[in-house]
Amino acid sequence: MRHNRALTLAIISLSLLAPTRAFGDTLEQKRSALAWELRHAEGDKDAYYLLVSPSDGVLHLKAGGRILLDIDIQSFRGLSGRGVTPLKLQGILHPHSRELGPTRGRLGGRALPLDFIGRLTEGAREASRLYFSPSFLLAGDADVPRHLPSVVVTPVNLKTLAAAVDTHTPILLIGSPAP
Amino acid sequence: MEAIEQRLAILRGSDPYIVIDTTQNRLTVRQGDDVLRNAICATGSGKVLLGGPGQMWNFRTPKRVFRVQKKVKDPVWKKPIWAFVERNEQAPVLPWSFERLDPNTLGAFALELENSYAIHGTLYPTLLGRHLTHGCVRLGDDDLEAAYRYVEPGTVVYVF
Repeated sequence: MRHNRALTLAIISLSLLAPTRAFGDTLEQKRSALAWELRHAEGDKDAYYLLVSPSDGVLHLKAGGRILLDIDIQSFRGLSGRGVTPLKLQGILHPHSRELGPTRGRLGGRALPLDFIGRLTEGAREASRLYFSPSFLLAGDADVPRHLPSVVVTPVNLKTLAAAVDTHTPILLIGSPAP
Repeated sequence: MEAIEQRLAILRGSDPYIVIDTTQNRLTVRQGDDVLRNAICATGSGKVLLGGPGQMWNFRTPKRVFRVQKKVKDPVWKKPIWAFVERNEQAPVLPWSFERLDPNTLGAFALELENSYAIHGTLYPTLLGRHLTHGCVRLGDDDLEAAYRYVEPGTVVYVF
């Protein structure tokens, strides 16, 4: 009887402790994210950065701590680990594009981007992906390989984000669960 | 954590700021976590105009961070050379020529940014939401008046 009561107490204690621990993790993640944000914003107040909060289902475009855009996340597959992960943009991938080579076509001092059948295009397209090093994609369609950590937004939001970011623009993933 | 939040809040400031999304042609006036105004605007067409030898204009809205330089009521547009080249007209020789002044095109208010760019009104409100300007940002009358009232010189304008 005494043994059963002890077991019951242990189960109740564990069930009470579990949310506390989860809450603690969230607070720690929030603190780390804020500290990273502060460091980044103090470095350059006008520099854009992205902040992904899967638990809120939102991706923020920010600068100097100010929110510029709130974008709903369609789906999210995080990197392994539950911490706060800063990554940097390496480039924008354009599937189905032809490579013009080192000279590239130019018009009026601007690069002349052509799609794969030679039509003039500019900026990101719906199928483009923002590639963050070492291995994370921001995509505008759900057709991302399953094994790749990624966040998916609507195609039009992807185009907006692609217009805002630059090479080395950072992205911060908060509390990303393993894929 | 509160200390970090406070430092971030100080850095962020409490003044309104403007966000212009040139992809979706949206202008938003924000303050803190609040959206004060959400408007459809028109932004640069991206077209290139070639003039005489060495003359070329690129009509795109630059993606950068601006500061509002001046708030102007009943602005008068001093037409630049490209406005004449575009119409295949001879530009007046004198930069202060009366022929360059146009009091009707910019609407009731203008927010002057750097490098001759501005947020101003339009004669063609049905064309808002499109990429068709010469680089300035056009707003409808009500949205322009609201933006004019919210911002002050020095207000930050994020354009992307």
